[in-house]
Amino acid sequence: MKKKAVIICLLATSLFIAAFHSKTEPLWHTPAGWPQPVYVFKTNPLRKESIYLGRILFHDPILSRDYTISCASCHLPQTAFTHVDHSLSHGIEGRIGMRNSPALMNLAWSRYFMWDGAVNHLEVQPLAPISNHDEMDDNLAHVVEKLNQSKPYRSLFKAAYGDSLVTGQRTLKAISQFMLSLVSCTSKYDQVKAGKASFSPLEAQGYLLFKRSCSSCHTEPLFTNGGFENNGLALDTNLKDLGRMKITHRSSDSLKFKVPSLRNIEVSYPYMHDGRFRNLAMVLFHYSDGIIQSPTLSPVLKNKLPLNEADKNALIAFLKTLTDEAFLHNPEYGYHKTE
Amino acid sequence: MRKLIVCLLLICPAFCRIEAQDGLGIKTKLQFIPVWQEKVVHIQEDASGLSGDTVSFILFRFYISGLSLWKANHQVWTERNSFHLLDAGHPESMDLSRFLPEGLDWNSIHFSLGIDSATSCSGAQGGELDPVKGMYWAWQSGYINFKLDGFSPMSQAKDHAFHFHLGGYQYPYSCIREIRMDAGPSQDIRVLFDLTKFLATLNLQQEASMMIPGARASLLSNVAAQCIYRETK
Repeated sequence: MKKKAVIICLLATSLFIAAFHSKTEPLWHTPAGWPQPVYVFKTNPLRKESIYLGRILFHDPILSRDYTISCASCHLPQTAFTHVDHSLSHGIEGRIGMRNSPALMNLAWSRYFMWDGAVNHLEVQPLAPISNHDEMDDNLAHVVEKLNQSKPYRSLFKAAYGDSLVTGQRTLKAISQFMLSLVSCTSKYDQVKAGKASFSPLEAQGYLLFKRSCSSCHTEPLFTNGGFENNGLALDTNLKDLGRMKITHRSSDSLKFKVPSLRNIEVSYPYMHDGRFRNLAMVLFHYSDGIIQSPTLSPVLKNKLPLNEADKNALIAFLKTLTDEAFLHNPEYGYHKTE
Repeated sequence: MRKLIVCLLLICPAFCRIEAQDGLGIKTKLQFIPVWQEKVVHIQEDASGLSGDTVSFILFRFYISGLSLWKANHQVWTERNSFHLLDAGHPESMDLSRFLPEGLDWNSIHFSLGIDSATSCSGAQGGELDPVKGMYWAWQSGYINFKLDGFSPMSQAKDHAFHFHLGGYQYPYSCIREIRMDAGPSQDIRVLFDLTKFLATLNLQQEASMMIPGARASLLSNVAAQCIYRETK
């Protein structure tokens, strides 16, 4: 009798351990040599089911008032989750927004979101496009109402959260889970850093120039310092966008915008907060010849960047090593038709 | 033996409950009452028939957080996850009595008007803090602590409307305000939120709306906090 009990106990323990391990299989890996993420995963532990729910929501125009615009409309996976050839984001009924849609990747390391840092946490970031008049023009309460009326979504929420109730918090956390999964860390640059590939001479020259001229703001390995800078762009007199100052009300933040990551920069044109530059050559011409002096200009740009044409070619060659094909064509990121 | 344990398990909570209810024999009450011209505010959710000839309110909501009870200088109780959304359109939400413990000896109550900065920076929250409640800004992160919408003949805005959405957590324009009140002997606290006083402080002809964080929102949050006081009979 005692023997039987011991065997049952052992079996139960093994089953418990197996179940525990299958549930805690890590879905997150911080790439070697990278800093620890800013995002606190323990408040929203990654689960396959919730990442999948977030993916479905990300690609579904149900988030917009008239069911025409999804997150993916302006954030296409194959272009590093931005909208190529569109200087400004656009929304329902052909409305045009004020800013270029930013590329989305490595968001677990971001402390602030949007070009002016208006959003302080990844989980509340989707509220901005959902509610913006020029983007989705809906509100979270209405979105939740629509999702609660959808049988397929109630099933997806049940799979993700254990019951089928749709709430604002669950919706936002699920979209966040999908966004957290967008990690780009397998470019040629990463292969070189891991000792698995090597730069061409031109790329190597570009890398040296990059470290000398660009890396104080576009700091490796994320290729952003996460801060806000005035990079000497002239104020667009139509948009009159003062950037970070709108949020902090400090004149010292005038014309400062979030420093974007340069990963996948080759495919995420046009560039700058208002998409004013169509290609990388125009960007580098701005830094060598177009800097506008102003009180809040980044100190490292006071004397412009001394780049000749050969330097620019080398820099562009290096920047192209940041293209991450595996990230751009990851089958886990695209639209997926639900049952 | 087993039966005895089961009996004890069943009986213990009952004893505990009796003891808690006995306490000092005082029924604790905490009720907020929004008032306009000495009458309880009536929310007219259907604004279609309103002309703006008289002052009328179509929405009044605010957050009360961080409830705690004090005896002299000692905290005797604090509520965990203490976030309450009070909505004048739903009078039952104005009564927080059920959240207070019975039988404690205390003589003052502390709470805040609004949501603290840590919570404002902690991502998507649920329950009373779920952004679906309409009290979270989408374009700039942070909770709206106080939302008052209505009509007044004084307002020069379209349809004589006014909108005061006060919030923001960033230094130096944080809009959360701490409020302390003496309980008196009864522990029956009726808290008036005096909108007469609030609107009287404003010049609606020049300022019919405030819906962004900043210095002015911070100043108006001071005004709002001063409009909260204990009813004296």
